[in-house]
Amino acid sequence: MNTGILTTKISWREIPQARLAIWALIAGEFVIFGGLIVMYILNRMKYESWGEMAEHTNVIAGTVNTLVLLTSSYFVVKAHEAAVKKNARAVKKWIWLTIMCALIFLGIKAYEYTHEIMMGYTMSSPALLEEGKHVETLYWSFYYTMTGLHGLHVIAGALALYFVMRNVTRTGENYHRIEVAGLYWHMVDIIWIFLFPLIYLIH
Amino acid sequence: MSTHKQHGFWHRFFFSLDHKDIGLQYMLTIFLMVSIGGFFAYVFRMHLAFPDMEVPLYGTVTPKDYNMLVTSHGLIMMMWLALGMLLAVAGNYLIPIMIGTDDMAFPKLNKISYWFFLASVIVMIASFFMPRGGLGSGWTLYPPLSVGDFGYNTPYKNFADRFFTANTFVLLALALEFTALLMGGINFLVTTLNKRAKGMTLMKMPMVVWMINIASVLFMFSVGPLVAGTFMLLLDINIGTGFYDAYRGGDPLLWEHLFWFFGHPEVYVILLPPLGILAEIISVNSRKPLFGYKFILVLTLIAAVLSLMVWAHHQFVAGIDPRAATVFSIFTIIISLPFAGVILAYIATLWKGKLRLNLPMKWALGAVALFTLLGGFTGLHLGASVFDIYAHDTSFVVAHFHYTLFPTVIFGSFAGIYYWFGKFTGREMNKFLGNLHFWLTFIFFNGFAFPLFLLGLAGQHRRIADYRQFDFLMEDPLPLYRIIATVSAVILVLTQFIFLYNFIYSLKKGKKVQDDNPWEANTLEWQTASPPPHGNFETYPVVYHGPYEYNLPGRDKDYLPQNEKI
Amino acid sequence: MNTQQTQGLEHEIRVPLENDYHGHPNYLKVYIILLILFALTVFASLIPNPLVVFAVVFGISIIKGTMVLLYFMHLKWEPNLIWIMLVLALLTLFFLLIGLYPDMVPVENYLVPKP
Repeated sequence: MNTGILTTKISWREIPQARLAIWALIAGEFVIFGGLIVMYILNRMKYESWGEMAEHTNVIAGTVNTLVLLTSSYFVVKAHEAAVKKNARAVKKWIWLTIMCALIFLGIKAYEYTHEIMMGYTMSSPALLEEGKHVETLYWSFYYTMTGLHGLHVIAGALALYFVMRNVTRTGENYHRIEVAGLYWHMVDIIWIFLFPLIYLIH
Repeated sequence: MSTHKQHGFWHRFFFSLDHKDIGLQYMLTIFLMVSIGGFFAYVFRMHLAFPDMEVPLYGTVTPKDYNMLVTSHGLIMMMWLALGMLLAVAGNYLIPIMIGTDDMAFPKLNKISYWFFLASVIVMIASFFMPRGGLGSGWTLYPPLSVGDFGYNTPYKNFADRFFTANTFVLLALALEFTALLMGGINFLVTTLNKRAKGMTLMKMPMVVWMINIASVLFMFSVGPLVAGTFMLLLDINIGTGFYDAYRGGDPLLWEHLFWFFGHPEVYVILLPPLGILAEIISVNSRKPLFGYKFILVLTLIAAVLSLMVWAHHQFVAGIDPRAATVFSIFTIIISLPFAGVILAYIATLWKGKLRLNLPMKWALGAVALFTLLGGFTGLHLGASVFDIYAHDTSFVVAHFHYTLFPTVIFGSFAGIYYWFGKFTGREMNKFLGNLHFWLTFIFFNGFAFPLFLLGLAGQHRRIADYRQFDFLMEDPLPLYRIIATVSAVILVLTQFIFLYNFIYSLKKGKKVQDDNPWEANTLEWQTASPPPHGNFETYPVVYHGPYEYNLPGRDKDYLPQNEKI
Repeated sequence: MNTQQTQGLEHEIRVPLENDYHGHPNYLKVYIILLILFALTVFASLIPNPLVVFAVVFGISIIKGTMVLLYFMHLKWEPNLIWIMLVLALLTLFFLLIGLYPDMVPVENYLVPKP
């Protein structure tokens, strides 16, 4: 097997098609989320009152979520290792662990959202508007948009991993798809790596 | 070889995975859209020249109607016609066959891309029938006008009221279309990188394949922030968030930046494929190699990167930082250089060539002349922010962009269609009608667009439904210019029916082509049957050299197909 | 195995999974490093100066993201083309940041009601 054999870079003529396609998609998604992040950063630099709003985010929940996603990234790469060895049972185990991490992530996010909505922080936060806190409502708009879009990508990634795993365990073929779906999952993780400190940590 | 039966038209329309069928589907859908966009142009031009008259086939044009017509014309032509024809149609038809392979890398993804595109067309057309009418914010969709009077602090809190509006539907249509084009772009890129014929290195590819790929990549990167921004605008409309609401810390200028950050590279996205098509046609019909293959490539890549640094020249008078305006102005003027270089390379290709002035060549030469002399130079005018302060939002800008868009998008598309029709359908289009189409289009396009320069310099602004309220715009000869422009535009639109008739008639009843390679060209699609069989080639070609080996000394033929050894 | 023979199309290059060209680094080691960096991030957020916090935290995020890209996503062994695509994406964002900055940050929004 080739654990430990690190070959030199190969020419792009030999990269498998699906992997090339998913990297192109990943580059495109980076620009989309990157755009949102750039706008968030600039607005953050402009409005100091956003710092106060950031304190109302649940840092502990965010920290746990980051741990969960990092771990899920580790699980999915172990699934890829198992796929290279064509070990369908191990693939199934690691992918299920990844999907469970996704579900925990979504659950914690749902809890956070519920809490924040009950405090009056929504997409347009009418309660804050009435208090005269206009600029702060924009913070929450960005918060829900960025984390919501990210959450949708978590769902999409988890579904992709599930269907790919199901196909592999049923047919015993198409192991290369595990890596492709895994790459998408890593992208979702990287986006959260950037979202977490920007939204939760910087006061 | 292929053993499936020939399916009926509608079965093929919805389920065929073949890239040529999908290309045709895109083209027919785009013909539908362009008819609508062209009809709208006819209506509002008639209204501008003859304000009191009821426009035949439409009725009275109220100011609200006018706004809707102008907006929809712009959106349809820029987003559906230009992007669709030049990325989706050209890419689908040309890429697989010119690189010598059977189909795209992901045929099913290709099919799904078309369905998304069709969905976007349906949603866009549906937007005209919404309760509060079509969208009238201008094709640039600036908020707060595009948010409508139900976005910010309004009594319309009902979600259904907000959702079933043209504002939402147009944005959804755009989102669907961008998804289709992103999927298509990935497909094109992977196909070009992975499925080329044996022996076809990247530097031996026809220029048009390079151009479509560079355009797709540029599209992919520049559209990202706009996707985010469109999502934010949709939220503003439907949920009442304040991303672009100045009273809540948002900024309408943010939308302008996001839109033009995409909008400017977009015009290069739709410029590059026609430049590629022109490269093919010009070199074939000059019987000379394309001058400076690597030169053109490098310049195009430089221009693509530069195009990401010039966008705010659309916002010189919007209230941006004037120091930023200086920077954008400088980059805008610089970006004319790579394109000037490309056009010079084409002229060098023509120089002392044995020119064949057939129909595609006429379109190509017309395109180069009009684009460079009237479109490109006036771009330099507008790039200088000082002049732009005067000319912004006047008809001068309208004339400029019609002189850059029409010769490239429309003339380029027609050049391509007349050039490749015989190959992909196996039948010929009528030459007389084609020439008539060319001359009428050329003459009446200039008749329409040139007066607009003069009107713009006289101070006539865009997007104004009735010029009679301005005395200085009713002085002679300005109303006459408007009438000349309108009459030319109407004849221009009518001329396209000649093309439509020729195209549809020839599809079914045109004379069958006798020769697989009537233009005596080198690229791979001419080395297979007309129309190409399913899978494109009976035996897959091996490529020995580049596609521009014309007029090699010491040979009896003046061309050398790519799959022929010397 | 995913070789595809379409009508004799033998120029399709498929990399059989057994000979997949990139190696597998020690994923557990990378994971632990990521966790350590994450812990550092959280501790850094306790620093009183917000600008320093931003710089440190964003910097660590970049390192974490790069590590996931290089090792989990095997970017280290991928051909140059992928690197170019990612660099282009980053460049695009950089241009966006520079272009948006003058109109977003130094500008005072006087329409927002003062508290």
